[in-house]
Amino acid sequence: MLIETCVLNSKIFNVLKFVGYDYFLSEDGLMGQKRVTIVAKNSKSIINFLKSNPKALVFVKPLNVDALKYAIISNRVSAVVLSSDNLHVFKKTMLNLIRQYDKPVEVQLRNFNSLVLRKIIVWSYKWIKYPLFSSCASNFDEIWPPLSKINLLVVHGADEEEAVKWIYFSPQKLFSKDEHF
Amino acid sequence: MNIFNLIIIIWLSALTVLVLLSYRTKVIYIKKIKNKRDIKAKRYVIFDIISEDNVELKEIEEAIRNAVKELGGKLWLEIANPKVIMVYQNHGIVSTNRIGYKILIASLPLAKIQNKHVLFVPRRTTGSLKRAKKLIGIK
Repeated sequence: MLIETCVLNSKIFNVLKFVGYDYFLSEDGLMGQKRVTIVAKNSKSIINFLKSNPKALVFVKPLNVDALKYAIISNRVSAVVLSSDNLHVFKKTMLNLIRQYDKPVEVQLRNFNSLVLRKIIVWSYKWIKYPLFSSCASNFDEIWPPLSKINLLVVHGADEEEAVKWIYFSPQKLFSKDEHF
Repeated sequence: MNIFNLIIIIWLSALTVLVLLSYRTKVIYIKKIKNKRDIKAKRYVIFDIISEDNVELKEIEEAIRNAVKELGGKLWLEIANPKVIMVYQNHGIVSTNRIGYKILIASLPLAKIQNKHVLFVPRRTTGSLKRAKKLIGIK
């Protein structure tokens, strides 16, 4: 089952089906599973947010080590968002913590950065078991088809088999937290 | 001393004959290093066009070339050298080579046409134009 892990506008659902996705997570929550992305400067802001949003899948973009540490340890946080803004936060100790808790790490392909992609590919071989690559499309012309995602990773130095595994199976971790596949 | 030189010459010539004979009978295997990745081998990428507006072949080719340049730079644009062969209904065929088809597929979502919303979805890659045409429904 192919899952698109981030869509900003649920109205593009038909195009997503045509492109090849079976299910998606949407920021607006009108269709599909609702997800919320928060930019966290400290752990307190995550705690306060989790109290007010009981149901949605929570993605956290931590801007410092404290927030990242809490996001990794917390069961309520589904995944951590990696971008060029918070690349410096992901130190070796934090990556070890990610490996220990099997926390998924998401990279948004909207205005993607090749350095970030390269970093997550390298880290995925050792630390990050479940990397997520999401389109975050607000319009249908911003959708990344699965085949393009795989080839984008291959162009950035990933093995083809690993790239297929990450695109097809990593998003399933968000729905089966306790099961190992 | 002359006898010693003669013995060495005979010994070396005998060794040379042995080596040549063993090469002919393939006792010694000399591996020829070949570049198996033939750069000239053609690849045809079939893609679907999703758009509410009418898009022309030239616009598509320009958009795809710009997208490849944006992702891989001038180097990869010249290596991949993508050319839109044909557009049939909502399908298109773009030609490239074995080296550049991956970067072409990766850069298809980056292809944008001015004032038009369009998405190119890669579907299949084939090695022959005949098969590519068959796949999009041209007999």
